[in-house]
Amino acid sequence: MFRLENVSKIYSRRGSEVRALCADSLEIPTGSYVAIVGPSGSGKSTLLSMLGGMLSPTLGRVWLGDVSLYDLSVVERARLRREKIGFVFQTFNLVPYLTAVENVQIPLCLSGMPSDDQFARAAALLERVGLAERLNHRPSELSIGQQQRVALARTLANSPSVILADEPTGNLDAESRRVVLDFFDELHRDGCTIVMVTHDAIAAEKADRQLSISNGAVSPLFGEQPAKAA
Amino acid sequence: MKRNIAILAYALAICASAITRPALAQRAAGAGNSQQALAAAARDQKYTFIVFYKDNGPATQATAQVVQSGVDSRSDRATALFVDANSPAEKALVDRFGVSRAPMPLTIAVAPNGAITGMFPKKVTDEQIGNAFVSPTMAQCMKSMQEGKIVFVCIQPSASDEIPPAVQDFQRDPQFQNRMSVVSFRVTDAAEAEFLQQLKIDAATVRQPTTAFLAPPGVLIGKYGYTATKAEMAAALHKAGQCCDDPNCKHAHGPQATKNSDAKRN
Amino acid sequence: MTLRTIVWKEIWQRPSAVATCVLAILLGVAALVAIRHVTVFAEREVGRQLQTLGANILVLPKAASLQDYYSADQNGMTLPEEHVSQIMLAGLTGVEKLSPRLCVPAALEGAELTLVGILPQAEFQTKEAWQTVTLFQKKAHVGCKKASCGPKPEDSSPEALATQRTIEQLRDHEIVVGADVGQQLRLKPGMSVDLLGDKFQILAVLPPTGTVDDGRIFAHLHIVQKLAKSGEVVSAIEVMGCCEDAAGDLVPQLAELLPDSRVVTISQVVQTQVGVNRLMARSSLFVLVVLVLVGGISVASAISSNVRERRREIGTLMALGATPRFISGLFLLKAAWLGLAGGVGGCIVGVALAVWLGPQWAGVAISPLLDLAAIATVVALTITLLAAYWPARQAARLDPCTCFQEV
Repeated sequence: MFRLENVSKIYSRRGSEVRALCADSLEIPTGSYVAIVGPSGSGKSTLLSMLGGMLSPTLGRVWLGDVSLYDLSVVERARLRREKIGFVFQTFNLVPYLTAVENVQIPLCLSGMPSDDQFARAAALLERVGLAERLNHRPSELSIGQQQRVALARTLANSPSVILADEPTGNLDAESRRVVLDFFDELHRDGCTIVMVTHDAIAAEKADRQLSISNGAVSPLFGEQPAKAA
Repeated sequence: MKRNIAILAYALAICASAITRPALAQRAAGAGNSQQALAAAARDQKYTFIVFYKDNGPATQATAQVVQSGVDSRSDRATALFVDANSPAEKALVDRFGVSRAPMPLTIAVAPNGAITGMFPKKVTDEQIGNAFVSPTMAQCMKSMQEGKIVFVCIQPSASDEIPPAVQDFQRDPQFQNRMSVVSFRVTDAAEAEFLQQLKIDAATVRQPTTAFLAPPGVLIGKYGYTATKAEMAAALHKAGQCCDDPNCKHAHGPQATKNSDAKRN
Repeated sequence: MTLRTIVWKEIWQRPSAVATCVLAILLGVAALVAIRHVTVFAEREVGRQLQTLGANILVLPKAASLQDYYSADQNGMTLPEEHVSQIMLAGLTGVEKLSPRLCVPAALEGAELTLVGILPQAEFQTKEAWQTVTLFQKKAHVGCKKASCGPKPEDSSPEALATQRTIEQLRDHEIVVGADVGQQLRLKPGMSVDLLGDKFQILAVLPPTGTVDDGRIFAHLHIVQKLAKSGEVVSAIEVMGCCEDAAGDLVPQLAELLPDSRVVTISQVVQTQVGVNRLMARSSLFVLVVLVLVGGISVASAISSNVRERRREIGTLMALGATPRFISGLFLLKAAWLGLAGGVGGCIVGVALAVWLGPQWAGVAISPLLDLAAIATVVALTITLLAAYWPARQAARLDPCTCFQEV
């Protein structure tokens, strides 16, 4: 599904250049579950942003299917994200002044769904993640684990075929981490492509394939791993 | 020498005022008969120059002198009357001319027919006195207008006494018959030569009766030939309700202006 | 969930943050609306006075000061009544009516008021006849060209004093009462009252005029002179010209005729008011500029600050598929609501201020002008949208990767 061709991202800062990412050829097939492991500042977020159509490469092309992402306009990329990509953020990134159900409705609103239908779908998703009684709670009134589940429900609102997760278990306790990882397993089984950036080894082991990223360079972690049995 | 002449002149002035004062007082003493004097002058076909005064100051003295001398030089057709406006006996006369609050001394020229032909506040000159004598027709016109009536002055050629048809129409119209007067004179009448001049009518051009149409308080509405119609003249009368050419003038009335709803004048 | 809902909820998350913004716009709009209302009504009043009194001239004592036309006769000084006759005798073109007045203080049933002696027009009948003499006088000018043989279009009832400023008939011991006096003392036509030690019968109670005449009582001039022991004097002579054209020529003629008097036209009287109106019109322009600057800067600053605070949220929304148009719409809609709130609130406050203070500032009664309020609201809205445009555009161009920034 994802293909990076001679992609690099170079920043110029105060007269010096910083190579944030360099990937000669990287393929992430459809339906795969990939974990990208690397220390802080290694370029994980840069890669994720690039895959999500939010950061254009300095060189090279990024393909999603047969579409060159950065040959699309800003509006077309936004539409692509709405329809196909779901993000999971380390800090959940819930809108603080909206309730749980309203946060989940955001992607539905962006895709133009009628308000009544939005509520119904959002409520169903929250029920799926076990937050049926928390529909009208604001993020500040939810625990960390609950906030992440709201974020997960939001990610699933438009039934994306790709999940891009940035340190999804970074701020969670063990139980919440387990819930999130089980969710990813479920989504993976349903055919979703998951690209998870993490420095959590336990989370990384859940993936079929592990990649390492260091100083912007992507390489297999411990060589190519055989695909896990379903 | 010069000083003596000055003293003499001063003494003469004192004597003159002393002589005049009693004369004014003497005239004033007969004040109760002012109305009668006025009536007598009218009978004698004389103009009366009435000097209303409230005090015996220099202005009054000067006016009295001018009027007296002006009347003396025209004694065949004029007489003078001096009226103390403060005297209760003269209230009727003062009210008749409405001069109780007028600037004094005030000289009023009254024609034999009762028309006021001149009013001169504060001071008067002999020329003004002379100009106050108007022709009989002018006096009639002024009298009628002072009574609030419109005046049709018919200027007749020598051979005809006919009143123009338009004027006759006015006479028959109930709206106008009680507030109009018609005066006529022959164009050849020498006494009216000045009036003709005032009206700017050339006597030589008058072949048929011509009408000069006048309205209070002294407006010449227009001059009309024999064939002029009543409608024409009525329209001119209506238009005369405007005082100037300003289209925004509030006197730009509609045709109803000529309807007789003015009770005040009647 | 719609764009509108998101904006609404964001505003109510921290209402105090927008309150300052709204207040700035509200105050600016209120000041603008109040000043414009007063200006408009003051200009209308000036126009009305010029229209109704445009051909009127006041003859006043030389040293009299003049603030307002209607109370010009309350100057405390007098001139000789004979000036009236002098004007009539002069036969000036364009003099339609004269109305001499004498104001004296009086008390009625414990209430202090002004007793005004006026001369009824019926007493001018004889004087009008004087003008006939000028027809045949060898003089350079003629009397008023207007033929007074037509019916007078004016009303001859006593109540007409309110509008025509003259009265046709008023007998010695009759009075006409101003609207406010009548209401305050419950006076009715036919009643008998004591004034300055003499008995008077009320002929009529005037309708309200909105001028000082509402608080006055009118009696025959000569009776007032007698009772007040003032002598044959008047406080002012109002000369009604037949039209403004004639009135314009009358002024120098009257000034020459009565050198010991002051001759003023309504134009001169309202000159000060016209000047004030002009100043207020300029002030409203100044307020508009201030509104634009202060309100606009306030809104621009508030929206810019809001964009900075919500960078992560904006990045997240972009990640979720929000278009740049949606993002800028978040801020423009917010600015529009702020502008609308400030505009509507400012209009309400401004109109209330104008209605309350207008009679005190400019001596005019004020009623709300809806079109003015609408324009002010539109102006406020436009200013806020323009001010928010750049920050909103900047928000739409934010790097979406801010959503990945660690807190």
